[in-house]
Amino acid sequence: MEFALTEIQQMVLETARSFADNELLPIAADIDKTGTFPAAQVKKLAELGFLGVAVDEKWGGAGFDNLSYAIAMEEISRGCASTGVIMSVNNSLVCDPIKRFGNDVQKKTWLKPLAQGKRLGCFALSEPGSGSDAAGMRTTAIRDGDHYIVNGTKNWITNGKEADVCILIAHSDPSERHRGISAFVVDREQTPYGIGKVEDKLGIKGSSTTSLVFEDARVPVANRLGEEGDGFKVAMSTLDGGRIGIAAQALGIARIAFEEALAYSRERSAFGKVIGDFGAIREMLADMATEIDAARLLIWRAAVGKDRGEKFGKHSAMAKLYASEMSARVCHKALQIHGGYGYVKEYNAERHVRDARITEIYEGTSEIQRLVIARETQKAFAASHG
Amino acid sequence: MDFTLTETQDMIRDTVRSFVAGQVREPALRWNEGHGDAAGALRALADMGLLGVLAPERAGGAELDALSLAVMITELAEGDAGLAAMVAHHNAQGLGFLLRAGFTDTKALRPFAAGKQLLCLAAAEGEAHADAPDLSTRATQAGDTWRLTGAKRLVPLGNRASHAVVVAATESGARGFLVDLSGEGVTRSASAPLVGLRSCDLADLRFDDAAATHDLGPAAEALAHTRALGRLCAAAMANGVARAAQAAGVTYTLERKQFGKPIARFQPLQWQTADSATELEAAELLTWRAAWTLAQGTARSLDVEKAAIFALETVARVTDRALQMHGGYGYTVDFPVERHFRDAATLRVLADGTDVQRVALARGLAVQA
Repeated sequence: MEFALTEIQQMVLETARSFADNELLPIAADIDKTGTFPAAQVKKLAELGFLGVAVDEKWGGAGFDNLSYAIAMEEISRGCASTGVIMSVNNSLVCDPIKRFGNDVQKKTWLKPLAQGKRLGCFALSEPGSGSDAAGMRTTAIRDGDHYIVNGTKNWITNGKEADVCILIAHSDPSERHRGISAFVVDREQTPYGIGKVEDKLGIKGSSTTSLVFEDARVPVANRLGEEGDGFKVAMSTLDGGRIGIAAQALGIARIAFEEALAYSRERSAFGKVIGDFGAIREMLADMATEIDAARLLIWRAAVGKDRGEKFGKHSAMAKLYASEMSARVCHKALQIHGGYGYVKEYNAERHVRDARITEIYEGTSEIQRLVIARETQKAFAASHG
Repeated sequence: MDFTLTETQDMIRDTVRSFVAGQVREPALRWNEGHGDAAGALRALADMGLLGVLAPERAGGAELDALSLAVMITELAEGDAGLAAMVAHHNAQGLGFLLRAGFTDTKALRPFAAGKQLLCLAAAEGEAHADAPDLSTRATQAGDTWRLTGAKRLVPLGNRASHAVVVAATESGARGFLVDLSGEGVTRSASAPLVGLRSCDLADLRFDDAAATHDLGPAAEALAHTRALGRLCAAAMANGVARAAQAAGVTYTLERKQFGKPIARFQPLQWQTADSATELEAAELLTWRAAWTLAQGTARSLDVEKAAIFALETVARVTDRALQMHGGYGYTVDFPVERHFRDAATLRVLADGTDVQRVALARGLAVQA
């Protein structure tokens, strides 16, 4: 058992923290207010190697491990939750599946520019009528010689507006359920597709969420990730990793909400003393600090599992479930500690509540995480008790 | 970052786990009903070298770190929380104080480190915190000898221990003293039973001009150390009890059928299973990290308080859910969950209780802010 970070991990932490302090915290409120994509900050993230943290240097990445990625995600999201999700999608949902399932040509063509941050990616699995029930999707990719012809609409696509590379999951054999699904890298320069509705959201307003519309879109066979029929496996294993990123985003949001609430509680006085010295506020702060650490350890546990090539699906589901619900609780309490000031936009507390809320929903709702955890736990007990 | 146990820790866990399976789990049911007691189990643990975990090898101890201690306590608590509480108390409180106070008399240390004799820490009183200035137990010096007068309540191992480390007020503040409990002026009586930890030996001690065998010096620093170890052990015990309850609960849901299928297939039961599994995982990670931090000898951090608060709140929820999973059966003594539930309630008030732990944590946070 060893809880210290390596020198590289420590360096990643410090780099990400100072970037967040200097470049993100000052602009986060404005990004939220105007709903602007933080293009300049994303460009700087690319220069730091943070758009391909766990991708080999050979393929344009920083060459660090998944724990470093989780650390960086926490710090960046502490600075700006929108920037956090933009980073998470490019790393976890786009670079990672190409890294694991792509051939060398695909890696050279797409992974390298994506990991370098020269291009930006998005991941298209959900549809208007299907989310975690992936087999229920309606989008089809039907083979026609050297191409697949794609028809359908994808929904809730983070980075949908800015991305020019898309990991698309679609039915290549609509007569099958899971086994009829394939995964593709769709390059918008090669295969034009439409951007549908751009969602107006409660939070993470600096990142775009759009639908993508495919109408007889022709995707070369060479763009398929893995074999025909591997798509379900590609999608599910990708989401296992994505949960680490979103859990770390939730943690980062909780961190900044807690820090601001703690500072406020030391400044604001009532009845002749600072409110941070009242038992009720102390209890809230103690619980917030404790749960933040609990979430971080669950996330790091999952990330280390991924680094070691272990089965980490249950651990990443636990990390995502706990961190997201923890973040919602912590942000709620942080707002409460600010009293009326927490409810107005002059302070950041209300933004953190709005930003945290999404982490309980995307990349598998809390309900889906619980199903995964319960299934794995019951399986283990059934096995050990014959 | 490495979440795996070292070879030694792994070995301790396996050894204690099989000891619990063979010699604790089943008799624990009787111990907790007042039939027989854990004396034999304590002797067996002494023979295994597990009653001097933190003591130096030169005094016959195992010279292991806090992480090994936490791993061992969790395993024991999975079988019986009362036994775990006694083992934790001897190792981390009695011996923990003695070692931290710089007690170097190897000959006197040896029987405790070998577990031939048990050692308790009599610090807290009914009204006063151990290190508070208003301790009613007083020590006065008469010639070379310190004499103690006062009373201590709910002292773990108080009936079985041969000696106690007693914290008493002196003119120059609180000091620790080693007292032979079979000596003159010491009376001990079994404490009124608690709601849980029924197999744990608890006594009320009275000292009437009782002579100390050793003066252990000012108590503050050693008490801070035993308090940290006590919180760590409380967390480790909580995790063991929670694990036992979760195993009982989930196993029951896989067997019990309603509406033609195991109740494990119903989502409300799955939700409880998932929440308990997740919180238990987090509690263990926090506890291990706290133990690691203590083992590093790092200057006072807040890791121990975080672990204790989280683990003690978790065991309350996990045992409550496990009882609920059993329905009416969970409320009967025919199933072990009611005991886990009672043990959890008792654990939560150990080591100062979670409310005081929160105050300690919040004070630390305010300093950092």
